[in-house]
Amino acid sequence: MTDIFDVPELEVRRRRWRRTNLIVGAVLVGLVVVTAVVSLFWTPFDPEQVNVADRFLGVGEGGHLLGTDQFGRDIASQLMVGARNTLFVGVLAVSIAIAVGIPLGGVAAVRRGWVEEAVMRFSDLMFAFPAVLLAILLVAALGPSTSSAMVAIGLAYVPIVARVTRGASLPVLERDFVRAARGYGRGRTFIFVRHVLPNIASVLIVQATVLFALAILAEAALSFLGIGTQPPTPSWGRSLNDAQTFISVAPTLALWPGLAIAVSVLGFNLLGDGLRDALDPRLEVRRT
Amino acid sequence: MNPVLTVEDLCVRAGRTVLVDGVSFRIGRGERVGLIGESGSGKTMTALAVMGLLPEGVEASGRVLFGDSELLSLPEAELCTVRGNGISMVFQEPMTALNPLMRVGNQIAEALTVHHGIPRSEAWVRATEALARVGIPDPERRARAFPHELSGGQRQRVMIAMAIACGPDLVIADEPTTALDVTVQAQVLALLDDLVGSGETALWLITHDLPVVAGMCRRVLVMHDGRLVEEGETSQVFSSPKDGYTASLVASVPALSRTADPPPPKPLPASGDPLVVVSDVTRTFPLPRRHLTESRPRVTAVDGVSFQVASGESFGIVGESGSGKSTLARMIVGLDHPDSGRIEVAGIPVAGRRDRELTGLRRIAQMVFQDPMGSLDPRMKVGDVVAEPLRALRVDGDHRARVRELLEAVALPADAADRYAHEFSGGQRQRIAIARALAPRPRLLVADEPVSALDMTIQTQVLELLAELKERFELTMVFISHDLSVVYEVCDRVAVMKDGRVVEVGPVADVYARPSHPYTAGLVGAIPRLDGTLPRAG
Repeated sequence: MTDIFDVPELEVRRRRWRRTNLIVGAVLVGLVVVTAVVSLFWTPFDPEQVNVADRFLGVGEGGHLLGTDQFGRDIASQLMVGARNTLFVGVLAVSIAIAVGIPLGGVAAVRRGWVEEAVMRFSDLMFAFPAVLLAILLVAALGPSTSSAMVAIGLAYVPIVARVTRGASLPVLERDFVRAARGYGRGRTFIFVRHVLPNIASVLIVQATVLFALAILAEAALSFLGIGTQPPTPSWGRSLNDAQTFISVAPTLALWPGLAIAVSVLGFNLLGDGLRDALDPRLEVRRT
Repeated sequence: MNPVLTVEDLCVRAGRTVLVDGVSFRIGRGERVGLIGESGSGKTMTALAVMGLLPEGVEASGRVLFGDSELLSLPEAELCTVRGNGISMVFQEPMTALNPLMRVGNQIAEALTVHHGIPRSEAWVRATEALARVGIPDPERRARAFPHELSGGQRQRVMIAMAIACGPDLVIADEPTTALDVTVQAQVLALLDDLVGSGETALWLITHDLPVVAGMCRRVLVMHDGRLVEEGETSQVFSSPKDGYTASLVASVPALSRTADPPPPKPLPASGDPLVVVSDVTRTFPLPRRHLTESRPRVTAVDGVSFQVASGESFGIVGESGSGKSTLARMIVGLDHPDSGRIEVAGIPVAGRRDRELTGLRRIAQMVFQDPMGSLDPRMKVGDVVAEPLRALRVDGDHRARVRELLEAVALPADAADRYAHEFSGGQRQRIAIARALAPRPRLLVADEPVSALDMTIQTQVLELLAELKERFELTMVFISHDLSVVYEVCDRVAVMKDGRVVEVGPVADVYARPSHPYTAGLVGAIPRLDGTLPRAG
C-alpha cells in the first residue's frame, strides 16, 4: 500500500535541510584541512618557540592572535599545527578500523554459522578488553608515539565496525535482490561487495565520522597519559590537558583547543549526515 | 435522514501537492458506504483527514461535519473525545496498530476508561465481553494475551473489538482484510457485517478490493487521483459504471471473483515432457530452543510434496500464508534446499547442490519475486540490473543490445536503462524484474506472488504481459499465489497447498468447479464476488 509519508513536497523540505548539514559540515571540516595544510608552510610564530617572558598573554597581546600559553608559545600557531595531528589521528585510526572491521563483519554476515560465531565472540572479547590497556601494551611494544596510540585506537574500534557491518548487512542479505543475484549465479563475495556494501554505505559513513570524532577525543586522553603525541609536537588534546593545570590562572587556555576539538567533531558529524543523504540515489533530486 | 458524517469540499495538501481535491459525500446513520480506489488515489488521506490524524506537514481544508461538530476546526482535546468514542478506526495491519507491549484486554479497556470514565476493573470485564462478541474463544484468557500471541485474524478481531467497544456512530475500516488470508478475510467480513449491520453504527469501508465492497456496502464511492469520480448504488456502479476509470477497475476484476458460478472449463495445452520433477520433498526449519538442554525443535514448511510440471505448461501453486509455497518455489530454483527428496529441472538435479554447481540451472530457471522494490538493488541503474544475469552467467553477445531488447519486450521506455528502480511505479518495477529474469533466455520462470503487491488494474496488465512473454519465449511457468482468481487467469493446472502438503492437484477449472478436498472447497467458497454474494465463513 502507499506510504502516506511519501509526499514529494515534504521530501524536498527535508532534503534542503540535509543539504545545509552537508554544506556546514564540509565547511567546518574544510577549515580544519586548510588550516593543517597552511601550517605546513606558514604559521604566525614558531609553535615550539618557548618565551617565558611572554607567558599567559591575552588575546591579541604582543601580536599573538589568541595569546600565549604557560611557556609563552603562540596558541594560534600551536592550534594550526595541531590540526595536522588531529587529521592524522582520525584518518589512521578510522582506516585501520574500517580496513579490518568491514571484511570481518561481512564474512560474519555472509557465512553465518560457526564463522559468524567465531567473529562475533572475538569482537566481544575485544570489547571487553579496555582500549587504554591495549594502547599501553602496544606503546610498550612499539614505543610511545602518535601512530602507535592510533593503531591501538583503530584496533579497539575494529569490533564496533565489524558489528555495525554485520548488523546492517543481515537485513540486506534477506532482501529479494540478493536472492535474485544468487538466482542468476553470483557468488557470496560479489554479492557482498556489489549489492550489500553500497546499501550499507550510509550506515558505515555515519559510523566512520562518529569514530573519527571519537578518535580525536581518544588521542587527547592518551596524550594526557603520556602515551599519545609526544611533546613538543603540538596536539589539541594535550594542550587541553595542559591547560587544566592553569584553569584558574588562564581560563582561555582551555577554551581554544576545546573549541577546536568541538568544531572539528561537529564538522565531521554534520558531514557524515550530509554525505549519507547525498549518496542515496533514492533522495536524489529528480530532474523534471 | 440525518447524516452522521458530512464531508464538503475536502482538500488535503502537502505543501503545493494536492492529495485530495474537493471531495464531498455524506454517510447516513447506520449506513454502510464503500470507498474504492487504487494506491495513491487519496482514500487513506481522506480517512485520516476526517479522523484528524494527518501526518506532519499535511493540511486539510473544507468542512467535515460529524453530527453538529466541525471536526477540522475542533481543538485537539475535543477531537480526542470524538476519536474512539464517536468515530473509531480499524487499520490494515493489526500487528502494527496494536501496542506490542500491552495485553489486548488492557488496550480495549483503555478506550473505555478514557471515554466513559469507567473504573478499570469494570472496563476489563467489558473488554472481555467485547472480545466474546468478536468471536474470540475463551475471552477471559485471551484478554491477557499480548498481540504477538494471537493470529492475524484474531488481532484484526481485537482491533474491531476496540473499534466498537465505545459504541461509536461511525466505524472507519481502512483495508481491514487486505493483510489477511482469504478464509480469514471471509470470517472478519462476516463479523463486521454482523456487528455493524444490526445497529445504529455506520460503516465506512475503504478498500482496493471491489468484490469486498460489493458484499458489504450498498453505496460506493470511487476515488481516482484525489477526486471522487463516481458515487452510487454498489450494484449499479459495478454493473454499469458511468466513469471510464470505474469501468477499468471493474474490468480488472478476474473472472473467478465475478460470480459464484463455477468457472468455465479451460482447454489444456498439449502436454510435453516433464521439465520440473519434484518428488517427496520435505523441508524443515529449526526453531529457537525453549530450554538450554532441549534439542532444537523444527517446524516443517514443506512436507513430502511431489508433482511434475510439463514443458510449456503454466503450473499454479495456491495456498494461504505459511502453507510452504514460497519455500517450495525457492527450492525449485536452488535458492533453498530440501532436507530430503529429489528436485530435477530439465534433468539437472537441484536438491542439495552448492550455488557454484548450479550455473547450468541458472541458465534454465529464473525467478520473479513478490515485492518489486525489494527485488531490485536500489543502488543500481536499471540497465545494470537487467544486465547482471548476463554478466554473472557469462552470456555471449552484446549485453547492451540485449538489455534494450528486453526492456522493449516488457514495454518499458528506452531511456529506462539509465534510471534507478525507485523512479518507476510498482508495475514498472515488476516489469524490470521480469526483464531481468528473462535475460539469460531461461526455459522456466518461477514467479512467487508476482502481482500481489500491485494495484488491480496494474495487476491485469502484468498478468497479460506474462502470458504474452510466455508465448513469445516458449516459457514454462510455475506461478505461486495466494489468490485463486489470479491463478485461474494464468494457469493450466494447479496444486493446492495447506500446512506444507499438496492436498489437491489438477486442471484449474476442474479443481475450482469440483474441488475434491474440503480445504479447496473452503478456499473457493471464501472468495468475495463482484455480484455481491458475500462469502460466509464455513
